[in-house]
Amino acid sequence: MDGLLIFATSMVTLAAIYGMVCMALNLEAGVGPLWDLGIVGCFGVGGYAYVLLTADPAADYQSYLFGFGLPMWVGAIGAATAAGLAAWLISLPTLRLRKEYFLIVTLAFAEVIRQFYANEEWLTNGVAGIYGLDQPLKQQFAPGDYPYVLMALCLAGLAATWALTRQLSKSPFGRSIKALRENEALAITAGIEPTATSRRLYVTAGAITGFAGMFFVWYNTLIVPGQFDSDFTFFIWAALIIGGIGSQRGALVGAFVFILLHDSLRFVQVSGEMAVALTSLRTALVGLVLILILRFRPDGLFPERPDRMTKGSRHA
Amino acid sequence: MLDVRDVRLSYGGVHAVNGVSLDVQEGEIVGLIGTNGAGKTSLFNVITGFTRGDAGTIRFLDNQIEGSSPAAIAASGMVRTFQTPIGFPKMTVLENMLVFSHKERSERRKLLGGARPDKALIADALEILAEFRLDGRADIWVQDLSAPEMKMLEFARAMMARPKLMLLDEPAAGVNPALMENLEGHIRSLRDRGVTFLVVDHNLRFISAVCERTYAMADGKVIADGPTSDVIADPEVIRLYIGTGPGEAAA
Amino acid sequence: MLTASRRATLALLAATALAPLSVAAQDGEPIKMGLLVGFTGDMGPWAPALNNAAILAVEEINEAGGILGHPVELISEDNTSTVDGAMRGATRLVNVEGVPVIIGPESDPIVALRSFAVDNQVPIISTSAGTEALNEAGGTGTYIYRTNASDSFLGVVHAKMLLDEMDQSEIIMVVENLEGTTSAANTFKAAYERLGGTIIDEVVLAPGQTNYQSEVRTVAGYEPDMIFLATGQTTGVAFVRQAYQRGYDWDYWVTAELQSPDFVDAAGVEIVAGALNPVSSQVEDSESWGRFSAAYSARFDEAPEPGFYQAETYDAFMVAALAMVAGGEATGAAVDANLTEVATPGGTEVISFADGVAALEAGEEINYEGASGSINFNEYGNVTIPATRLLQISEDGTWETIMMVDSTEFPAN
Repeated sequence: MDGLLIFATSMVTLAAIYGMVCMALNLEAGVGPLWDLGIVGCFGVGGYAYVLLTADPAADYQSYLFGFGLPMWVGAIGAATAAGLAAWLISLPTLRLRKEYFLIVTLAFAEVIRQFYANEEWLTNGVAGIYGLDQPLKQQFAPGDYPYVLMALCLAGLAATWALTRQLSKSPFGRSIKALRENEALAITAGIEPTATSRRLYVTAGAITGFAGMFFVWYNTLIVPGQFDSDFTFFIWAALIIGGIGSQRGALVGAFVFILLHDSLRFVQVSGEMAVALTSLRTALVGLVLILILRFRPDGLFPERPDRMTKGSRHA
Repeated sequence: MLDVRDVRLSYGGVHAVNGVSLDVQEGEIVGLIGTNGAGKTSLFNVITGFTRGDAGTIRFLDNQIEGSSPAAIAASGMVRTFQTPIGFPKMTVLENMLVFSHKERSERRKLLGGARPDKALIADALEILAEFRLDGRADIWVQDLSAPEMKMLEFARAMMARPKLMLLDEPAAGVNPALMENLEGHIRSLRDRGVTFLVVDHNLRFISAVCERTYAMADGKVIADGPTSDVIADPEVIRLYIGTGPGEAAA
Repeated sequence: MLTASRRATLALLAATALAPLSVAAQDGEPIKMGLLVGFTGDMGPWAPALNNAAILAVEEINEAGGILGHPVELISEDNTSTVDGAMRGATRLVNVEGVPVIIGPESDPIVALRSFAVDNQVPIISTSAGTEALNEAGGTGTYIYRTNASDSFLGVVHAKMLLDEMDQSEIIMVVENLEGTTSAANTFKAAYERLGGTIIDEVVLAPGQTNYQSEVRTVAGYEPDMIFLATGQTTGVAFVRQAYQRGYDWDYWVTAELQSPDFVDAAGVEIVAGALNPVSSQVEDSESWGRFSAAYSARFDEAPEPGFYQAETYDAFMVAALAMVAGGEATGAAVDANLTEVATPGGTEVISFADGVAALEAGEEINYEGASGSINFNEYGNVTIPATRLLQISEDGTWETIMMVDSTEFPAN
């Protein structure tokens, strides 16, 4: 029982990290108009920025720049800033594009960024990655208790992301990006500049995603380019669609349901010989659930609902 | 208030707008008629900045506005409507209103997206909605409104922006006679409160009911202007309308 | 060295161990041993072979009476070939299943699990991780080991073979920019240059291209005798075919990724005949490899192959099980404390679990000789491989052993 609890802790920790990215994507693509297929790009930039700022200097068989060994809070700010900056650079050529081209180009940019980590060894130690990274508060707790500490940290990050994305989506800015999503021409007549507003949204979501990248580094204790391929982007999209795109609660629930689904087969105990067949079902199971949801609940488990503001009802 | 001089616009050799000049004075309700393809909507797009014209000058409230972004032109007090009044479908009626408010305009550039709407702002919006009998619908999505309600919301939204000039693009299209009278009433009452109108339509009955003065366009040019009754009696205008179909040209 | 009390424990347990299996099963809970490899993801194609090796090992242990009288149960877990997948897989194996040892994780996963291993006192034994990050990271007390040779050692093998056996003191490298191939190329380069060889140039191939004409031209400019080719299958095939189409019939010295029948089939025998690849292996005709190979073939209807890490996986299960027997308890701490001891020289040489248990019960120290090699863990939990077999693609398209070299004296990295 205790063991199951620790395993559940590990899953909740990862789901919390996915949840942060899901909420950032929901802000962009659910509330706002930006269908971003490159969210893993900012996630990786945040992770790498954090590592390069906080890791110890490179060992002789590694090569990476910096390794400043700076405090973690500097890394946190650096992660969000670097990812926001990356988003800003990507936004310069891409925001002029129509929706379907934006999808393709962001996907391509994320791959370019991944190739950058893989090829620029002087900066990132290339495909071998950087490992043995510290986790926060690790020394202050017994090893057996640490999974709970890490979970608490990630849940705190999730709560902060929830509060921030919720404030943003309920604010005048949130309504302006929703207006762009719904009817760009009409939004313009309300004085909303599509490009400037979208850029601000893209940078904000990128910074939040980069911040989440730091938690992913804590979870894994290493960073390699292979962690940041487009699978991650598709996982986040799948989670958001399962939960309900455009809905804050949907983004949160989607992340947890997705991780649970993805790992549910770990709960099935079979003989060693069956293990091969069973694990190959994992991806198929996620796909099946996605199809069922699209068929029977096309708007997700928690569909977007009207934001009621008049009669004191408090529904999101 | 609005002064358009010799505006031209061509798409691949076709002169959609071929040297049009018109002006609108404060407090007027001015009509713009013409058959399909006469260049009315193209002219509208150039005036509101959605399309960049090839030549000509446009002054609004004594400012040169050609070349400005459509959002900036809208923010300066010129608000347009669209032929299909779908609004922001998956936003509530109240949200549709708030987006157009001056308060949100200044708030949305702030850090953390600005302050959420206060009670006074919501009360303002509800008051305008009440005038259009939409206050009971404030919390539902616009896509769930009836077609006449969407039409009314279009005016309510524009009111929220406190525009100086409203450009209406075919407001009478697909509207039944009872609603049309209602619309006429709202346009006049808004004018009495200081809003100026430029109305594009090809429903002559509607135009003659609300517009004191009218321009008629054909093939990208103004072919007649003056008091509405004179313009619709103009032989050239009659020939064009009868030549292309019944006078009550449908939407 | 066995203490008196441990000897007493062992004597006591001997009766249980020798009892019929059904009785042992009733006696107590099974001991679970974890296999954590990438059943899905990039490693997916290789994982079933490792799982087979684990199944074979566990069946043999159970036939010999299990560990300390308990039957052994194999728990196979997917790490999705990713680091975070390995984290959750390991957490489940340890906390839900209660395994005392985890075998199998590849390079990135085992590196990520280093502190997990110590924190939970669960040894993690890789059977395929080549990464340099483990060159000095493991060993007794760290709970980290590997039964396969490191990339660094393989780099030394490549370099020594080229310099000493082929008299090739200059070479051009053609490397695809992937983790495995880059790592292999870098370790080779370091060893080759250190041992006196010269790298004329290193031409990098970007993964996933269809056209490598300009790279072929660059290489041709050097009029090379031999090319060190470290690429994945698809890129390797594309490169050698395009070179051949332009009329270049170079000799290739390839890395492990290309040492397969598929490479020969896809590229064409006429193009790649004569290509060479050194494989670290157990000494030819060694009893331990022969025994394992026969058992594996009988069980799964296919022969195990050097380079596929089946033998390394089998050996990891064997030494971990023997370490529990030697330690007298089925705990991770016992495995960590005894793993090096049961596998390194000193004591009776054994090649099977049954022999090992018998020797331990007789109060002897043991030295497990594995199917993959001697499994002589050094102080960092690394092994070297006693022999190197030079394989060449023959005119009829098969990989043939053309030479065996004793690599016992090669430096470990």
